[in-house]
Amino acid sequence: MKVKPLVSMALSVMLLLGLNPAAAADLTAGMKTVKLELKSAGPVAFGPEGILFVADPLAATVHAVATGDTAAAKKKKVVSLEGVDRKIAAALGTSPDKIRISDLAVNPASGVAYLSVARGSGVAAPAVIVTVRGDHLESLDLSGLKSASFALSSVPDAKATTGRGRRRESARTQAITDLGYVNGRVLVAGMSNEEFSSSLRSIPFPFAGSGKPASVEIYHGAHGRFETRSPVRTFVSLNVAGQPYLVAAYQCTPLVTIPLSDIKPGARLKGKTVAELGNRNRPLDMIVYTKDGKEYMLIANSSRGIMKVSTVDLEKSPGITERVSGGGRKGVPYETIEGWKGILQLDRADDHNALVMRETEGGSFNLETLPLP
Amino acid sequence: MKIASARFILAGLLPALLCGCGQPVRDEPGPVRIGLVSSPDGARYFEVSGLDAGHPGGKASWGGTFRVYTVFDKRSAGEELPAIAGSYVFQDGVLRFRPRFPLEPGLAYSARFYYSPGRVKEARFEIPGEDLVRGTSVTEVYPSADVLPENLLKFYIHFSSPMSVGQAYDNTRLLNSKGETVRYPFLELDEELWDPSGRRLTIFIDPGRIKQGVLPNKVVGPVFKVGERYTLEISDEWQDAAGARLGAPFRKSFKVSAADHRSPDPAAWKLAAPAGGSREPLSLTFAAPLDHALLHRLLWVENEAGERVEGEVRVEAGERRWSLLPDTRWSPGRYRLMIRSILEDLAGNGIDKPFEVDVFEQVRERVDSKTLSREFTVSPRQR
Repeated sequence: MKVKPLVSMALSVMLLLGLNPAAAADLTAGMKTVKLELKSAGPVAFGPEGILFVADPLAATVHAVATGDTAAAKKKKVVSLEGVDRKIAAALGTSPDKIRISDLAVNPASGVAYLSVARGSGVAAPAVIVTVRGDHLESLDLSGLKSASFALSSVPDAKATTGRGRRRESARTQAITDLGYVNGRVLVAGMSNEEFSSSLRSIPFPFAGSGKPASVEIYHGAHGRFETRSPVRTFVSLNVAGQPYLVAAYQCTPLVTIPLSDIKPGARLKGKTVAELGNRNRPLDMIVYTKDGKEYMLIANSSRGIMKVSTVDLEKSPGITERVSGGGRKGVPYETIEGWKGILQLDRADDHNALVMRETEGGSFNLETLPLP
Repeated sequence: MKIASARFILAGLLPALLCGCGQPVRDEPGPVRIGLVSSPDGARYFEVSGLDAGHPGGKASWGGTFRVYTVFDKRSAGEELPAIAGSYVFQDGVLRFRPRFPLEPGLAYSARFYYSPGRVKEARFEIPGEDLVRGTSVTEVYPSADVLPENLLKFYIHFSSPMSVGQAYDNTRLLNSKGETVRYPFLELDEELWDPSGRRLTIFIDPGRIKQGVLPNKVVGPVFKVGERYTLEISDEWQDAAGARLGAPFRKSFKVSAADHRSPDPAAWKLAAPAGGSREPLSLTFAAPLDHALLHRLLWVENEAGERVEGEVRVEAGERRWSLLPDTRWSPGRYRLMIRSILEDLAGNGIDKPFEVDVFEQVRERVDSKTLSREFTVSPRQR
């Protein structure tokens, strides 16, 4: 997940209330310097204080890493790197077909891009975090950094898989489709490789609590039915009518708003479908930004390009309560941004720019900083 | 310690080919020797010897003096790419660089010692490629039955060895009875759904084409048509984790029956209780096949004390039969078959709710995900 405006908003509120954010904000205090080894690296997102959240689906764990990359650079280097896949492969001593880039996140403090990468072909390929500062690429050594980890417990069959013997080693995994830091909580969206389910976890940070997933029931416009189990692909947080909301894009593209306050352990939620972005299309990534005093959302899609949505329209949307027919688009209006083709990854670089990973016609990947439309 | 053969290149002879940085590279004469060494644990590292005693050992950063580059193109210097990550140790006048990851068979590496800017000693090392053996195969595909419901939700593909990630949807096709490819049948997820061993992949049928009265279903139609035959085809282009292609393509042919919209009903399962004192299996027979993976995970047996009966679970007869072969003999007494309500059939109908809940037509009472149980008695063996 790619948005942090709520963080600064939260800080402003604290200042208004006379709270000292510095005292409350020492989020790395409880972290320890351990030799953190990632079993896998999926989605990544930044929280405050240079804390990088890394989803480790194979270990069913979310790690928080104090990168120490907290000094606000006076002049941030613009990230731009052609052939990033080739360069990451070279730095890891292998060929480009043997690396997989899962996600990227920009540290809002320094403007440095962090990419989660698998080095190798199989599920058990070692995972690496690679940083890109300007055009300089480096692999991040996690061993000297402070970190904290949270095991995503409460798999639905905890009782069934607890036991002795090799026979019951569970083949179930929980793919993590997105994660993000919102108002002191880490939100994790996932789906299982066995039962058709969707889970959204809300974990207090610094890590505490059970991490029991909230199951999100949404009205799925394209399907004209209640759909409880469709998996969330990507999400962002923003304020709708002054209230913090999660805007989630589902695998089959409905866009749904869910009040953040509703996401509680064990809760069954009903979101409001505010748009239906068309079928045969997968949402890939989303960001929220402000331009000329107005707030917008950008949604990168697998086959329908980059969509720009005014968040004011999200507030106004009555929600889709009928079956969508015809062209498969309904709900809030959106604009397709021409020229942003082949975008696979997206994050906000700063207030005015986005960092994207784009697939070129030759099949290689470039990191580019583009002005927000 | 074994020193691998190093192919030293007189870079001065091939400046145009070797130079990607705009400056001619010269293989400077000098006392330094560069080797590739295997340590007893099998890890390989680069070693620079012949450094004179006066060399500033213990330098904070050796990265400015000695770097190793991956060479994709043998004609390039490699230097235009980032140097490979690793760690340096300088001891007794010898500098060792250990790459963070093992060197890759089939690739070349350029190790460069910089006497000073522009004075470079280079050694190239080619790591012999490994012969890839095409031995990995598809061992099973579930559901195993050859008649499957129109609203089938998923396939599990089992392989004999761990597979490469990221090639699933390029190598899996669904063909109709005319041999034509069915378009967009699967929910293509960026995160391919592998088990932890990398040997089982879950592929979901696009749920938008299963649901009734929905747009994809209306426009392109459902993936399957009742009465037709289909073939799930797995290409032998798919590589295993080592990079070898599958030994052979795999095909599973099946016929499609009417959609199933009913939840499985545990009360209707036929339960054959074993005799006390025996190690006979406890067996369950279902009216319709259930999900292969979930049957292994979401059904178990407990004794009266709530202890789980350990044993081997078998799922057979086209996922219509589940049996438990206990590790020890059954003690006579009362037992409970435990069933998680999220257990699904082939169409994703769970015990707690069917796959489709249509609020326009009816709102069903929901059962929260929970554990159900069914009691049975193991009687003393009749003599």
